[in-house]
Amino acid sequence: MKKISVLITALFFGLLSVGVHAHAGGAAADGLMSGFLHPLLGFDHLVAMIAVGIWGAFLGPRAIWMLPIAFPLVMVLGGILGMAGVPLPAVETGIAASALVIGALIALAVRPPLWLALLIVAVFAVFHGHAHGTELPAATDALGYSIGFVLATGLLHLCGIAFALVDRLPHGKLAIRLAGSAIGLAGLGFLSGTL
Amino acid sequence: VRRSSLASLCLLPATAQAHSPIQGIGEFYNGLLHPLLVPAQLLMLLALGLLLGQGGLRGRQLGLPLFVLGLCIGLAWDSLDPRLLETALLLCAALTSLLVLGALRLPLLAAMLAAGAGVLLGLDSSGESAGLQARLATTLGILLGASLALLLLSDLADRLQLPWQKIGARILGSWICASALLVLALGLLQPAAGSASATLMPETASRPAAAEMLPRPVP
Repeated sequence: MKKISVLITALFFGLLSVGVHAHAGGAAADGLMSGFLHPLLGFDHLVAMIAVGIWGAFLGPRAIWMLPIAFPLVMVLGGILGMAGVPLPAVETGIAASALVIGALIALAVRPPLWLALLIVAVFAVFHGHAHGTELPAATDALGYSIGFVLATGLLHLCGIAFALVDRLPHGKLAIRLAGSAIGLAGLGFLSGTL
Repeated sequence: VRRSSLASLCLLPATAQAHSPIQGIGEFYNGLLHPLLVPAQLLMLLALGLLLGQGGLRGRQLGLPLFVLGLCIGLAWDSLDPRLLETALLLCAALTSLLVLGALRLPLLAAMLAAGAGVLLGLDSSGESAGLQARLATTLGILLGASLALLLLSDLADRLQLPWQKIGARILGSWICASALLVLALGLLQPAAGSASATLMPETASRPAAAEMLPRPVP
């Protein structure tokens, strides 16, 4: 547990160093920063990514790594649709619904089979990927942008997984379900336009 | 070694974005840092390091020398179309990271990918320089920088033996694959956007040939 915390902390601070040099870099640095900040500054993206991490950890040892691996790969599919200009109906609604649905699943402690969990996450990953993909061509440096937003997405998953480690504490399960409720409520807020 | 490897990895994101030419550090050090300053090359090195590390000692014994050999061949040739080379590097990174993702131990395929990656990286780094001495220093720097980076990364990946560490390597593989595939798709689907991107990030800014990073000689 201690080693995992050290690794996550090192990774986090390692990525923080990106910000230190942001003003010295060229277009690629701008692309990296804008891609990295995109999931962090979009509250709906941020909440949904953390929810995926928490749910993966909550579902057990296989889901804890399969969901974070599957998500970015399926997100690429959505990204390609976005770049190709293929219209996807209600993208923002889908992103908001991802927080609501996954939050509710955590809050209700629903444990579907792994394939179904993967399918649910994959469907939402397409919406998130589409939103990122639509913005990618406008980025000053496409590769920097892609690396940035994939990294940020993955780190948010890790944050969710790290939070879900409280499961081992006395009231950990309750804390996770409360977090799921908060995420679900946030999703409801996104859907209704309150947030 | 573990701590230094981890610290080096933490520093990679910072170095990866310093695409402005580094003035005043000389040809050799510019060459040394070059593989870490070009995102496509860095992605390739990360993916290959993970793959060779996953293959264990045998994978590294076979892959590392072939990578260095390929790098020498690539550096000896004249540079090709930079956009074509970047596409090839990203394709190679995507394929390599898919093998990392699947945790497939295929030493021969890994060695072939290492040799190919070396050639591509060498081609992508070669360029015109002011003189023979400057070109030699730059080439030596690139050769050393890329080889050491791969050695360090593959060593670190080889040490990831605990289950969660192996999973971490596969997750990293999925991130590399996703990043590379997105940019490849962008190039295929929107060549106009790709050329716009090329305009916005001119060659000297986004993918600096090591020689272009050198300070101009003062007459």
